[in-house]
Amino acid sequence: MKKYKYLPLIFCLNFVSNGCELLKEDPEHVLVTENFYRTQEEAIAVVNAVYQRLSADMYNRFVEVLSDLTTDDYKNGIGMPNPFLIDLEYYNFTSENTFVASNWTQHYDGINRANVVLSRVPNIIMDENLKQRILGEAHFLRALFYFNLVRWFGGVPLVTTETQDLSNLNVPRASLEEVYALIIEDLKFAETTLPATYGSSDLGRATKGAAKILLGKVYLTQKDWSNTVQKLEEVIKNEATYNYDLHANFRDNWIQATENGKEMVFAVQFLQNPGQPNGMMVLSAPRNRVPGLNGNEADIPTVDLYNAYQSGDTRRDATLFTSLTVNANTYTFPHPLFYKYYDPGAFGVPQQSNNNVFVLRYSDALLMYAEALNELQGPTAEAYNAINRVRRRAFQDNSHDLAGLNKDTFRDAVYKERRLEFVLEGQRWFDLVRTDRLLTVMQNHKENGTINIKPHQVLFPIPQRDRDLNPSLEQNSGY
Amino acid sequence: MQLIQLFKSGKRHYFYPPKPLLILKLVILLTVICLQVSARAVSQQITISENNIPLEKVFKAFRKQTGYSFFYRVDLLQKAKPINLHLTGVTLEEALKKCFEGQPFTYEILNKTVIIKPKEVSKSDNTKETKAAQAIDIKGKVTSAAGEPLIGVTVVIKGTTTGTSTDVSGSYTLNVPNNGGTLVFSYIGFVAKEVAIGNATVINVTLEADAKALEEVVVVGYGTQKKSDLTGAVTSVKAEDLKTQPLTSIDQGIQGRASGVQVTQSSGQPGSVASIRIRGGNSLQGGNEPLYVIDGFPVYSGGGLGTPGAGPNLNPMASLNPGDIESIEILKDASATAIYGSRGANGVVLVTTKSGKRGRDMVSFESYYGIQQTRKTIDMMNATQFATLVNEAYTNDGLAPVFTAAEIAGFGEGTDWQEEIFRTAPIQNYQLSFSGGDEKTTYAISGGYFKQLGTIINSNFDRLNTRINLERKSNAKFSVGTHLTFNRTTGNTVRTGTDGEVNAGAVLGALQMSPIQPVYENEALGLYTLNNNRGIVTPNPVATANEIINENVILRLLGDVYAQYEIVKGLRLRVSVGTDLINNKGNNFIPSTIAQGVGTRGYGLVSNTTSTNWLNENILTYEKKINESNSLNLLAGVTFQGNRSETVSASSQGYVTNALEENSLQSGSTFNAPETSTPEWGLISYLGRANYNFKEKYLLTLTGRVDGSSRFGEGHKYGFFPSAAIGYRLAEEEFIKNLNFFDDLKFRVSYGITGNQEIGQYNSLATLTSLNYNFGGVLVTGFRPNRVPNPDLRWEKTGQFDAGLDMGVLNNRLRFTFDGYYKKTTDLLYSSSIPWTSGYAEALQNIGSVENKGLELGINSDNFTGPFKWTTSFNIATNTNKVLDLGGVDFFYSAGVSDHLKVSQVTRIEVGQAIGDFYGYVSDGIFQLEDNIAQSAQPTAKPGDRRYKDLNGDGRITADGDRTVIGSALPKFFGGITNNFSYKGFELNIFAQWVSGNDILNYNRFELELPTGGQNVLSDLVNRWTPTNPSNEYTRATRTRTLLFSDRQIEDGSFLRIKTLTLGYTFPKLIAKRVQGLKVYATAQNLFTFTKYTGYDPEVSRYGASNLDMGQDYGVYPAATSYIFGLSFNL
Repeated sequence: MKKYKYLPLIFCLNFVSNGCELLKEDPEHVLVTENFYRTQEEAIAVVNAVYQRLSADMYNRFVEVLSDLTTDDYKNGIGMPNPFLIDLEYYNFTSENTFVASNWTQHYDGINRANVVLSRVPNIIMDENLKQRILGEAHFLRALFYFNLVRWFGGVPLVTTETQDLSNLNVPRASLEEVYALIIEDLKFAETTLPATYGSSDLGRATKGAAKILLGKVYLTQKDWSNTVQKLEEVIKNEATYNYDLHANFRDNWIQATENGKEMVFAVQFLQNPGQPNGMMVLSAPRNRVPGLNGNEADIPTVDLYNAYQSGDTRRDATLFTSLTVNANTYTFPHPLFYKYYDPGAFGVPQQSNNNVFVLRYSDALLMYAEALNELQGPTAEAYNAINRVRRRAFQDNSHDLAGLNKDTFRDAVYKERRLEFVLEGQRWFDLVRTDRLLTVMQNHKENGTINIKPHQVLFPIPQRDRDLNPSLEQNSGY
Repeated sequence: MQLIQLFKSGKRHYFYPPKPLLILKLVILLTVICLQVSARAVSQQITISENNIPLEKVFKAFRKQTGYSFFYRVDLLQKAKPINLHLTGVTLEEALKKCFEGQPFTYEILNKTVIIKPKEVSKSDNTKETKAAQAIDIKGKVTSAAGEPLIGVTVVIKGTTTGTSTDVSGSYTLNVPNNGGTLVFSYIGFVAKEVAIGNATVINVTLEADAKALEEVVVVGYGTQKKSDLTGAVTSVKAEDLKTQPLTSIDQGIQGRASGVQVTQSSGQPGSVASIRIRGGNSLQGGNEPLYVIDGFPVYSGGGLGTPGAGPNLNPMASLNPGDIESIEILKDASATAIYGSRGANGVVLVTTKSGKRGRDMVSFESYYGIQQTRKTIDMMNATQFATLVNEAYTNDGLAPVFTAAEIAGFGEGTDWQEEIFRTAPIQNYQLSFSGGDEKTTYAISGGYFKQLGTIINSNFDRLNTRINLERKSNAKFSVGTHLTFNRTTGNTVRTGTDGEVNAGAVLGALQMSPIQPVYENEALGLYTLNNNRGIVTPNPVATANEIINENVILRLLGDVYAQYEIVKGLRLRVSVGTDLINNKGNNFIPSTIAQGVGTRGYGLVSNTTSTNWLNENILTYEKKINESNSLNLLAGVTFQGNRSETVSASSQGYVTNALEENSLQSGSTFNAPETSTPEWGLISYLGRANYNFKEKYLLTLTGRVDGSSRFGEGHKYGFFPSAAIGYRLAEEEFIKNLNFFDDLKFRVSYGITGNQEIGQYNSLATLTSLNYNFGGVLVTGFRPNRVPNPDLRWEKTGQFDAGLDMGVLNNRLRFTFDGYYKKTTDLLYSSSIPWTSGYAEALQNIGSVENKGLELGINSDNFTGPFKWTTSFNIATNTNKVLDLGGVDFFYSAGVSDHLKVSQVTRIEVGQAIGDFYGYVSDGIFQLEDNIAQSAQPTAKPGDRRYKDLNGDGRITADGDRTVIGSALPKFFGGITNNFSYKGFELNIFAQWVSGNDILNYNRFELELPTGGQNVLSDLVNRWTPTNPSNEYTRATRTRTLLFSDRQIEDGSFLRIKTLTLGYTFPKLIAKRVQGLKVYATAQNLFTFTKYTGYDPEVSRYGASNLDMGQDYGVYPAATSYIFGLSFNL
C-alpha cells in the first residue's frame, strides 16, 4: 500500500487552489462593506439611502397616523378596519400597537442610516464642500428623526454611532434634555454646511433654510420663544436668499409642476413606479363611488374639520372634497374625503400618486414666527403680517385679515390657522401636545363616539417588543 | 473487443494492441501510475521461491527484479493455473519457461517487454485430438429457474480453456472431444453447475439463483450494502412498489411508504412542491427538507422554486421523470446520514435510476390516461340566500336594505363560482424505454411525455423527459459510465393560497365572490366583472385564473460521468464529475382588463435564472475479507461542489394593448427597475466510512465527514460530522437459531451528528442593499447596510440516537423493523430579534435547541404465497417535537400572518411546546339575548356576537392574557398500509395513508362564517343567529368585521385516505410471442378520504414547506381525485 500514500496529494494539487476559492464568500451581486465607502459617488448614495427612509414608509402614512389620526381631523373610514388604527383613533392603544412600533422602527432605522453617513463619509477622500454638505444632510435628517421620536415618546435611547456588530445593543433611555441637545447640535451643524438652494436634480435635499426652520420648530416646541424668533428671522428676513415665498394658490403645493417650488422648505419626494409612489391617495380616495377609482376610503376627515373652514377659504376645497367629476359625470360622496394627496394624473392607478408630502412648508415658518412673536411681545405688526400673509393666500384677498386681537385671541387664531393649513401633514398632534390642548380637544371631540384619552397619553408607549429585548428600556408612565 | 493490461516500464509506456478506450483509461491511470514511478536497480537474475502463486503475481515479481514489462490479456491470464516456483539466480527466459510449463501460453520478448500470447500449438493439439477421437457438437439452452433464457453464461469443458458463452436466446454450441468430460456452466449471481457430458448431444441446464448474491442490496451514501449488513435506519422503496401509483414527481413516491417520513402535498396545483419531514422538523428557518441524492448527485430541493407571479412554489423534483426510478432509499438515522455531513440533518433521500441489465435488449412502453376532479366543493349560499343576508346585515346596522323583495326573488341561484373555476381535467403519460447489455456494456435509454391539466381552469404542467444511463466495463478493473437526464417542464400556475382581499387567489375568490354578480359584465366584449362589490374587494376568480399568465419553463440537465478503477484487488477508485444545470424562465402577465391589472394598466414580467451546480467526487473504497470471521470495508473520499445561480428579471407596465402579453415588455409605458443577482455557494468535503463485520454477527460502522461551507462565518466554515453504529445479528447466535423461530433478528444502535447549512448565502457578511429615492422627480440610487454582520455564524447541529430492531419470522414471511430515536438540534439558526434602536429588526444567530423523539414500526408480510398471493406492508410512526431553548427568550411569534385578516400572529414558538402550535383565543358560543353582556368580559358586545373565554379572569378579553395553545399542526401518528393481491395475472393493489392527531388552521372559515354581506358565506349560515333563532354556532348578520383567531378556525386534520387503488391484469405470454408482460390497469387516486376536516382537503399547507407555519389552509388549490387507465408492455 505504501506506493499509494501520495494519492491524497493529487486531489490537493488539483483542487487546493480551487478549494480555497470555493469557500470564500465573494458576492458579485451584493455589495459588502469592504468594497464600499470609497468614492464621492458612493458617499452620495449613502446619504440618499437616509432620505429613502422618509418615503418608505415613514411619511407615507405612518407619521400621519400617529400625528393626524390621533386628532380631531381624521378618522377611520370603511376600508381596512385595522384594529390597531381603531385603537389609535379612540386612544385605546397599548405598547403593542403596530403603528406606534413601526414609527419607532423606521425612525431608528433612519437614525442608523444617518449614523452610517456620519461614520463612513468623513473617511472618504472627496470634494470637501460636498463632504460637508452630505454630513450636513445626515445631521439634518438625524435631527428630524430624533425630533419626531422625542415628541412622541419623550427621552429615547440616543444612538449616535453606526451599529456594526451585535454588542452593546441594549441602550437605555436618555433624558429629554440630552435628546434635544443632540437635535440642536445636529441642526446647528446642518445650518452651517448646507446650501441655501440646489439645482433642479437635487430638489428635495435638506437646505440651510430647512435646517433653520426646523431648528425654529425645535425651539418653539421647547417654548423658547426668543430663540424661535431669532432663528426664523434669519430666514424670513432674508427670504429672497432662500427663494422662499407662498404660492399664489394653496393647491399649487400639490401640483406636480409646483410642489417643489418656493413654498417647499422640506418635502418627502414621491414618484410613481419605478420610484416610491405616495400611498395616501389610494388610502383616502373614495371606495366604490367613482368608476375607475379604486380607493380604500380607509382614511377620512372628520366633519368637524370640514366645518372648521370659513366660507371663502380656498384651502377647504384644496384639502377636502365631497364630490368628483369625471367625464362630465359628477359623483357625490355622503361625507367629505381627503383631497390633499389626490393626484389627477393617477386616476385609475391611485397606487401611482406622485404627490410629495411636506415636512416643512414656508407657511409653517410664518405661522411659527407669528406665534413666537405673540408669545414674546404680543400681537406685533410683524406677527399680524406673518399670519395675514397665510390668510390672504387662503382667501385670495385681504378681506379676512386679522386685526385687533389680544395676545390670547391672537394665539387662538394662530392655532386655528395651523389646523386648517396643515391637514394631514403630520402636524396636528404635535401642535396640540406642544400647546397643552390635546386632552381638552380630544375629550370634547365626540363626532365618532367617546375618545378614551387619558392624561398620560400625551406620550406614546415605548414598543413592548424592544422593552422585552432590552430590559433597561423604561416605559412611559401610565402604560 | 479485448483490452490489454498495462504495466509501466520506467518512464515509457507501451500498449498493445492500441485501442481507443485505453485513452480514457490512461487519463485515470496516469494519476495513479505517476506515483508508482521510482528508480529501482534491475538485474537479469531472478530469484523466487513461493508455492501456489498466481501468474500475475509472478510477473509482477519478475518485473520488479528485471525491469521488464509484461503485456497480456486479462482473460487469458485468468485461465492460468497458480504455480509453485522455486528459482535462484536464473535468467528471465529460464524463469518464464518454467512458469509456462503446462500452461496454454507462450511468450515473446520484444525490447525489454514480455508479451504473453495464447499457445498456437493448442490448436494443433486439438486437431490431433480430433483425429484421435471424433469431436462432436454439444448444443443446449441455459435458463433460469423462472424459465428465462440466460445470456452470456460461460460454458467450458472442465480442466480446459475450451469454452463458449450463450447467445441472446440462451443457447450455446460447443465442439467437444468425444471422450466424455464435464461441462461447467457459470454465471454471475447464479450457482455454477457441472454436468457430465456422457453420450448426450443436447444438454439443457437450469441455473439456480445464488441466494447469497441475490440477497437484497440497498443503496447507501456513496455505495451499496447488503441489507443484512446495515447498521443504520434505512427504508427502501422499490420500483415495483411505485408502479401501481402514477406519480407526478419523485417525492410523491415516498408518501406513506416509509415509516417516520411525512409527505404533505401542499397544494393541488400540478407540479407544486411537497413538504417532507423525516422524523420531524429540526430547524426553525434553516430548511427542513431532506437532501435528495439522485444517482449520487446531491440536490437540495428546499421549499421549491418560486413562480414569477403569486402562487404555490414549484417542485424541482417534478422536473425528473418518476418512471426512471429503480429504487428510493430513505436514510433516517445519523449512521446512515452522517456521510452527508452538513446536509444530513433532515434525512437523505437517495434516488437510483434504472440502469440496463445484462441480457436481451428490452423495449418497454408505458402509458396512462386519466381524469381528475376536485374531491369536493364547499356548500356556499346561492344568490337569493346571500341577498337576504346582505339586507339583514344592513338593517341590523340601522341602514336601509340593499335589495327589494322582487330583486331577491329574481336572483335565483346566481353564479356558482366554484363551478366556474373547477373542471374535470385530463392527465396523460407516455414513456418509452430501451435497455439491455452484454458482458461489458449495459444501457438504459428512456424518453417520454407527461401532461397534466389542473382541476382549476388554466393550470397545467407538462414534462418532456429523456435519460441515458450507460456503463462500460472495459475490463475486470476499469469501467466508465454516465447518468444523463435532460428534461423540459412547463407549467402555468394559478394564483392560489395567497392573502385575501385584493390579493385573493382563484380559490378564495370562488368562495367569497358574491353569487349575485355574473362572471362577465359583457361576455361578448370579454368584459369581466372586476371585483366583489359592497364589501371585500375580492377580484373575480375566473378572471384571476383565466387571464393571469404565471408560467415557468424549466430546462434541466442533470448528469455525471464516472470512471472506476480497481487499483489492487479490493481497492477501487471512483472519480465522477457531474452537473445539474437548471434554466428557469418565468413569464408573468396581468392584463389591464382584470382587477389586478387596473392599477398597473397591464403588467408584464419575465425572469430567467440559470443555476449551475457542479460536483466532483473522488472516492476510494477498499474491501477486504481478512479471514473467515473478519471483513472490512473502508471508504474515503474528497468531494467538491459549487453552485452559481444567475438571475435577471425585467418588468414593465402601462400597456396600450394586452395582446402581446409579457412578450413585449418594451410596449409598456412604465419600465420598472430591472433586477439581477448572482449568488454562489461552495462546499468542500472529506468523508470516510469503515464497516467492520465480525463473524457475520457483529457489525460496526464508523463514518465521518468534514464539510467546509462558504455560507458560514470566517473561522466557522468547517464542521465535523461523525457517527458510530453497531449491529448485532442475533439470528446468527446458536441460542437464537435453536429457538427455531427467527429467520432474521438484528439489533442496531447508532449515534451521530449531522448538520444543516440551509441559511442562504452571504448571511455572515456585512452587506449593503440598493434602494431608490428621487430628487425633483429624478431617480437616484442609495445604498444602505442591510445586515449586522455575524462572523460567529456556525452550523446548526443535530445529534441523533437511534436504536432499531429488524426481525423476520415464519420463514421470513413476516418481517418487522422497529426504530426509536432521539434527536436534539442545537445552535439553531434563527433570525432572532434585536432591539429596533439598532436600526435592525433581527440578526441571524445561532440560538436555542429543539428535540424530536419518536418511534417507528414497519411490517412487511407475505400473507399468501401460493398461486394466490397477498402481501401487506404497513408502517406507522409517531414523533414528538419540543422546543428546548430559544436563546434566552421564552417565546416568539412567527410571521406569515395573512395581512388582510389582521388577526395578529397565529403560531407561537415557545420553550416547552412543539413548533407549529397554534396560539389564539378560546371561543365560547354566542351571546344570547338573556345574557348579561355588560357584566361579561366583552361589555360592548351585542346579542349574536361571538363570546370568548376570559382565561385569566381579568374581566377583559386581551391578547396578553386570554390566548393559549389551541392546537398543533403536528400529527401524533402517521403512516401507510399497502395490500397487494394477485392471482393468475390479476392484481389488486390498495394503498392507504393516514395522519392522525394534527390540527389545521382553516383560515377560510374566518370569512366564510362571517355574515357581513361583504362576501359570500357557507350555506349553513342561513341558520345564523337572529333574535328568533338563537344559534350558538354562527354570529348575527352585521357589516362589522370582527376577526379574532380562536379555536373556531381550528379543525381536526386527521385523515385516512385510500391513496391509490389499482386493479390490473397481465396477459399470459402466449398471447403474443413478441410482446411480453402486457399489462392493463385502472387506478383511482385519492378515491376515498375519511376526515372530519370541512375544507377542501386535509392535505394542505398554505405556506408550503415552512416549519413555522404548518397546517394552514387559506384558499389553497385543492387536491384532486383521479381515475386513470394504463397500459404497459415489453418487446
